[in-house]
Amino acid sequence: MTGHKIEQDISEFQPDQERSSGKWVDIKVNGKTIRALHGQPLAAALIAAGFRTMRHTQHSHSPRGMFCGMGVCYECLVRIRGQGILRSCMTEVVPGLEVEIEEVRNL
Amino acid sequence: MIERPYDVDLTIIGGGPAGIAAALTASEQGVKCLLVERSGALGGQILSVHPRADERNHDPAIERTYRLCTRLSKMGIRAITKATIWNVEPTHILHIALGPSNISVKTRALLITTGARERPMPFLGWCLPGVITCGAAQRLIGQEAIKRNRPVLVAGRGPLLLGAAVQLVDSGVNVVGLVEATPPLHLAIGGLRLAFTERGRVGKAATWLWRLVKERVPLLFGHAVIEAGGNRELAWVVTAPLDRQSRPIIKKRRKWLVDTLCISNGLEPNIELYQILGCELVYDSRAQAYFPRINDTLQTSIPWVYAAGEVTGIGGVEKALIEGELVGLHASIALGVTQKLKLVDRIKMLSLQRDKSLRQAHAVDSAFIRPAALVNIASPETIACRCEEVTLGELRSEALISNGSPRDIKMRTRIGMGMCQGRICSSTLYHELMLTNGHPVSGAELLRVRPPLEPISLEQLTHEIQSITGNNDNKGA
Repeated sequence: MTGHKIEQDISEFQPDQERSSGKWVDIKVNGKTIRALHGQPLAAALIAAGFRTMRHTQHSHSPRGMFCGMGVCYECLVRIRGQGILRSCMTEVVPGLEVEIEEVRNL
Repeated sequence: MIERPYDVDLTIIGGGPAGIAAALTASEQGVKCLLVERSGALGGQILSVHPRADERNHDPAIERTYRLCTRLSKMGIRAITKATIWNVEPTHILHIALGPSNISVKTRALLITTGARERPMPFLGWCLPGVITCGAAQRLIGQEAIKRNRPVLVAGRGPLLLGAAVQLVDSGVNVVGLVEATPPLHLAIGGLRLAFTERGRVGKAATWLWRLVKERVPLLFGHAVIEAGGNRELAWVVTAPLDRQSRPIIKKRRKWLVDTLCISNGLEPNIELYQILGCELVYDSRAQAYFPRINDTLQTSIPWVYAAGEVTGIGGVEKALIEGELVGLHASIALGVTQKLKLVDRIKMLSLQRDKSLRQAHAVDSAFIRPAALVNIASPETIACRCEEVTLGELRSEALISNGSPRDIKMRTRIGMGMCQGRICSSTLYHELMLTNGHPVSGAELLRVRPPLEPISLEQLTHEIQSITGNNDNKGA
């Protein structure tokens, strides 16, 4: 079985990784347009725009938002159009992202 | 049936200091490596919470990690990022979700160096939006997510708390207080002991303390958070001093009007991959956590699986770098790539360095109260399992009537069944069972971990690419 070349290599290690290109882009949250930094964690963009509550719990409908910021706690789940329900701390902002928060009710 | 050939000699899961050091060391010896990193960047948590160059320059271990990352990319070592390992099989086959596809890799040897996560610190109201870990706060600093003028309280226990508070202050965040649960006398004695052996570390801690004093940040030692509250989101926090039995003195409580609370209770290792493989796990009473059992060549109970970094013991960057290098050497010997004789001196030197870094880490730990201490003061209404909303009170009553095993409690209460699959609540569960049973839960009885380790889509599952080549000279391919 021959190997497939996976193109996603690291050829350049980026110094000073703030992980955003510094460019402001538009994304939509519940239909409302907000500005976010291209490449930053979506959770950071949401919190900066005032969306600290990202979902509600299954049993008591308690509000939850980002907690650990590293993809371990699954509190920051939001629905992203075309991609399903993802951890917003592990999702990068790209132009045109459409986020529906407080829509995740049964997790 | 023809057995599938190996794609790679050594796969390293985790692109932090240990993983990078192992990849470089093994590749230098001629081992064909593949480094797999879940996030979009190399360097692990240490670089993600210290992204700025000026922060790195103050710590030689962090600076070295950064330099090794640069060297790794220049050497053309095969590394994939945004790659999620979701299963590992005893047949040496790994399953990795990458983009829209799923790739499987057959590896001769495996190094699992998945680092650590923040240990939970449950208290009443800790699930409110606005309560975040110090690590999350440090990662968000550069992202403008913490508004400069909003008041922030930093609370918890352990060696990481002070550094986190200082980093926040340096970034212009309005830190209104530092609340450390370890009593001042305990800290002072620990600090004095360290002053003889770890002058550098004590010096750094003293510099940090002075920085906070200059900024007039109130420092409360021997105090802990007893409640957080607000209308749907965090608006206030109540702290109280702890008495000699570490119980809160309610009548001396203090209320802080803050909408962000950053908590730190130390670290615990990410051991899920070891659990999936069935590696033996042992309880470490110092860290009050479970680690894979390792021998002196850093192999787990499964000989082709190695461990390095925080997963062998919480010990910081320097230890991780040393252990990564050691695994690189040991693996190259075990794989028959290098002769043992050639590496004996180097291994010996690294082993001595490793022993020293372990002693240092233990010495620093002993200056603080035990990691699980704060669980003991949390009230019964406190949520223990955030995902399934199981309270400490429920957990404690079930523990009394159950057969004493975590899996039994899981069946009774649903603890560990939620999205995080026990990552946040398991240490609380094991601690409560230890208190009820009078001895630690054995490593063989921990909550079971089943694939997929991380969420994967049906699209990824159905788009499988078999094998990935692990050539070192893949530039321009």
